[in-house]
Order: sequence, then structure tokens, then C-alpha cells
Amino acid sequence: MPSRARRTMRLLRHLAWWDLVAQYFGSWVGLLWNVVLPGLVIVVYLAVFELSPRFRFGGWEAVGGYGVNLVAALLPWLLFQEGVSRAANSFVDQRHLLSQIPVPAALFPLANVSSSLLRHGVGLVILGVILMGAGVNTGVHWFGLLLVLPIALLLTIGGALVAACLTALHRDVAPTVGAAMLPLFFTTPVIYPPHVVPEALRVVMDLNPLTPVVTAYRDLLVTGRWPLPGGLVWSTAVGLVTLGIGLVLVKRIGPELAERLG
Amino acid sequence: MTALAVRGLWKRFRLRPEKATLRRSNAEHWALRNVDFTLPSGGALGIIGANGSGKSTLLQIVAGVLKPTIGTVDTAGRVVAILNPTAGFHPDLSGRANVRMLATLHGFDRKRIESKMDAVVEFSGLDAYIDQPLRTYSAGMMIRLGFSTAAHLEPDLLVVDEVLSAGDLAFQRRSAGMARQLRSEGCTLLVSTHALGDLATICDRLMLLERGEMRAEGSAEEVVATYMQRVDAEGGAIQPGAPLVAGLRPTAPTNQVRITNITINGQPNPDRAGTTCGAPLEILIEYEASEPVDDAIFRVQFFRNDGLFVHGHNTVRAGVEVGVLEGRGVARLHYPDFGLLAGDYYVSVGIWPDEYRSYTTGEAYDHRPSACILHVDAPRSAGAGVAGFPCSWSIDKEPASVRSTAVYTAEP
Repeated sequence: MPSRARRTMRLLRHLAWWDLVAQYFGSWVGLLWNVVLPGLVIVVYLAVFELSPRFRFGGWEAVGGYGVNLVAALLPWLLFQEGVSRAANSFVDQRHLLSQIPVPAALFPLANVSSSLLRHGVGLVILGVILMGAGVNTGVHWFGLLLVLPIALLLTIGGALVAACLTALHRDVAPTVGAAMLPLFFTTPVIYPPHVVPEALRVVMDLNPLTPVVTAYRDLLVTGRWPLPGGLVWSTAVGLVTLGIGLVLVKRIGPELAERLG
Repeated sequence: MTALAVRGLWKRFRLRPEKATLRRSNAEHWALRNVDFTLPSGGALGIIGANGSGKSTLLQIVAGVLKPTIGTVDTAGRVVAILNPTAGFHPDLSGRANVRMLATLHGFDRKRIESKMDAVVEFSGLDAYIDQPLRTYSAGMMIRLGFSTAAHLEPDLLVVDEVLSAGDLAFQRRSAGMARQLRSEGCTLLVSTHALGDLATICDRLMLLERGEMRAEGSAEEVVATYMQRVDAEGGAIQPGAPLVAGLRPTAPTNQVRITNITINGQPNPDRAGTTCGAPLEILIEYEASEPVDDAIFRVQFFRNDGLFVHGHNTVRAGVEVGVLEGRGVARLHYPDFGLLAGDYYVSVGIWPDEYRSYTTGEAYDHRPSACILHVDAPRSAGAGVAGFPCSWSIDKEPASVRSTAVYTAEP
């Protein structure tokens, strides 16, 4: 690896680490909050929805209770939602640094995404342990994450770069991104199975590039089947286009960040 | 070897409209106009100029955080910059973590960072606070940590904007000493500050920026002289009766004793008076007491136009027994060798009930805060700075064939 790329990767690693540390610096639990919080979300959802027999998820083919199906889909959603929302403010939050040291601008939103990815990994481990403990073992299908996780990451990184750059241009973008997450959440089949969506609204859900990703997570982690490739190709295509737009924006706006944000 | 080459540098800022809009603003401001200079390795260039002259923009471009609109900036080696008091630190991280972050961003690996940590902390003088979050630091503490970190990052070019004159006096001296040490180790310095005295001790060349353009470049003495002339020409010269920048509160004269006339070198009630460094100066303060006043003190002070209190004297310090003032009289202050160097100074004259208490409350019998502007000329041989003293230089050479002697005396 060329020394420049090595240095950039080292910077990204450090920025992601500081992002993890700084969020909870000075608290008693400190860095462990990055484990405690995802764990708490998973345990609470599972406790609430799995211990009550009134919550059922999906139709005849559904495997597992509402809780595990919800959590399996919630993990990639949280990766996207947290990564993009935090990255939207990354340039603004780091303007003190951007006006002091010439650092590749893309590293800041990427650091936010990296720390979200780490929490995502923690969530996967916790869910995996709980599922195994409960006897839900989808075995080899977990390896399907090696394909699906990069797609989720692609969408997150693309969205993060675009949101960060547009917020640098117009401060209204970050709150708009935050506001857009709620309708996006409800058009993503996280809290409901896709087949319950009325036909008239299904096109909205099908165009949502996160739909194939969360469905694939649920298939791999809970149901124990391989996801359909068509939807994932669509997600990948949207992810690549978003990433391309993000990179163009970073190249265009990155050198002007200190000036724009100063 | 050239450490910094700035060629035909122009920088344009687009001005933001008052209200946010989606349309691109056409209003623009050229912060730098055709700035062109080089700095050899190990050299030190000080940038001076009024606020808004483009100093910070130039330094930000050299540091690489702003891009030139036109022109090029070439640097050799590691450029380390301190462009603002927070030095890019994260408010939620500790001082130590911030040092690590800054060092990492400058390409240092963990081992090298830790090898320098003790020196950084020791120089900053913040060992008791280094593990506290930055948000608990004062501005001065942040500046100390920022400069200390930057100075220990082995810079080939150190860019410092207004930081050397910040912090407490002890740290200012230490940071100036560190800057000189870095230079002796081959580091190139590009420094901007309004503290002209600091620049003269660190830099061998100065550059004057004015509305983004280079107006002068050369020795500290020449460029500062040009700067002062331009400041005076643009209305920065001190004016009779203008309020002092610092040092004296407004006063409410009691009129028990009034100053009726002030004569400077024989000139009664002058708006402006003149003298020469090393020449005599005499100030007569005529007064009239409407009722007997016991133990009044007479005070004369000299302020530079930036408010610096450069000299003052009073009858208590002189051990003069003033006694009871009744009716009319004259107090006389005589300097056989007036020692201020070239410049314009406010002369403040007052009659006070005591030396300190009334001065802090502003309760004078009578007080003329800027009674007169005293213009002082000084020969080059009188020296540089604020004050000139009779002195002599002699150099004894080995073998003792020739003895070189030069003398400056108070006599002009």
C-alpha cells in the first residue's frame, strides 16, 4: 500500500477511534457505552416482543418471533440512520480542525460511519449470541452478511458523504436529513414484513434501496435462507451512484471547507 | 534552499448574503492581491498589517487549509500551523488525547507521539491539567498546549498566527525562546502578530500587508517605520483630547484645586509639543486652589498611542513635600535628559488627593487625561524600542591592536 494511502487509513482509524471515545469522554462507563447501548436496544426489544405471545411477525413462512425479526432488520437500519445522520454534521462539527490542518475531508464522515459500523458489529455479535442461546441457528447463512453488509455500508457511506457535503453548502440539510429519516424508516420494512404493505404503496417500498438490505439481513440471520439477488443489485446500484455523487461533491467542496465553514 | 515560495498569490472570498439563499452570491472580496515572496530554509518572516489586511488568509493558504484563487504556494517538508487559539483541538477530549490527535494528523505514529509527550506537557506547563477535557481549559491554556504541541512536531515550516503574543507573559517569553531555538535547528518561521516588539526579536524580515497587497518587505526597522507612517497617515495618529486606550478612568474634578495652565518647554497650553530624545523637557502645572488643600499630589504620565503606559512620575515618588495648597501656584517637573524614543505620546497631567486610592476611583482634584500630544524625535543612535539611555559600546579585540568605541550620550 502506498505510504499516502497507509497514512490516510491510519488517520481514518484514529478519527473513528476518537469519534467513539469523544462521544462518551468523561462518563463513568466511557467507551463501553458503545457496547452497552446496542446491547440494551437488542435486549429490550427482544424482551418486549419475544416474551409476549401476542406479537407475531408475518405469515406462514415467518421464522422466529416479532422481536428477533425486528432486531435483525433494525441493525442495518441503525447503521444507515446513525451513520448518515451523524455524518451530516461531521464537517460542521469538525470545522475547528478543518480550519487548522489540511486533512482529507472525506475522512470525517467516514470516521462517523466507521464508529457506527463498530457498534453495528457489536450488535451483530450480541444478536448472534442470543439467537444461538435461543436455539435459532441459521448456520452458514450468516456468511451471507459478507455480501450484504458491504452493500449496507455502500449506501451508508454514499449517504454520509452526500449529506456532509450538502450540509457544508446549506446548513438546512442536516436537520432535513434528520427529518427524512422518519418517513424513510416507515417505508423500510423494519417493523413490518414486506407482504403486509398494500399493493398501491409497495412501489415506494420497492424503490427504497434499504428494503432489500433489511430483508436480506432478516433472511440471513433469522429465517435461514439466501436473499433474492435482484433487490440487492438495485441497492448496490443506488449505493454506487450515491457514493459517486458523494465523491464528486467531496472533491469539489473539500478544498473549500475551511472557507465555507469558517 | 527555499522553504516557502509564494508566487502571484490572489485570494477571493465570496461574501455571504445576510439571509441564507440557494442562489450563489456575486459579492466578493479579494483578501490577497498578487502576494509574491520566498523564504529560505531557516529564515523567519513576520507579517504585519491592520486587521483585515490579509495576514490570516495568507497564513491559512500557506498552511494548506485554504486554496489560492490564483497563484501557487510551494512548501518543503512538514508544515505545522497554529492558526487559531484552539489549535484544532476537540473540546471533549483530554489535553493528552488532543496532543495525540494533532500529532497523528501530522503523520506521527503512536511511538513517536509518546516519545514527545513529556516534552510537550512540560513546555506547556499543564502537567496538572493534561488529562482534563479541553472544554475545561482557559483560552490561555489552550494556546499554551497548541504552541507546545506544534513546536514539538518537528516542523520544517512553523506557521503561527497571533499566538506568540497570547498567553501570559512568562509563556510569551518561553514561546519566543522556543521559536528562536527552532530557527537555530533549521526550522523556518512564518509569524503574524500585532505585537511588533515580539516580531523584531524572532524575525529577520518583516512584510507589511495592506488590503491584501504587499506594501513593504525588508528589515524589521524599515517595515515597522513604514507601517507606523501609514497608520498615522490613515488617521491612526493620536489626536488631542482623544480618550486613552487604557490606564485612566474618567474623572470628576472636585475643583478644590484647578489646573489653570500647562506649559511644556515654554509653550503654554499646547495641543501638541515636541522634543528630542535626550534633550531636556520641562512641564509647568499652574494651579488655583479655591480652598486650602492639604497633601495634594501632582502627577504626570506619558502614554503611547496604543495605551501603553510608558512613564509617569509624581510628587510623592519624588519625595517632594507639597504641603497646603492655597491660592495660585506652579508645580514644575524637569527632565534633564528626556528618555522616550521617537513617537507621539499622550501627556496626562493631574492633581490628586492621594497616590493610589483616588487614582483607582477616579476622584481627582483636577485631571487632564490627554492634555497634550508630545512628539519626540530621536536619532538612530538613540536605539530602538520605547526608551533611550545614554550608553556606549566598546569592542576589545585580540590581539589588542585596535579598540573600537562608539558612544551614545543623552546630548543630541
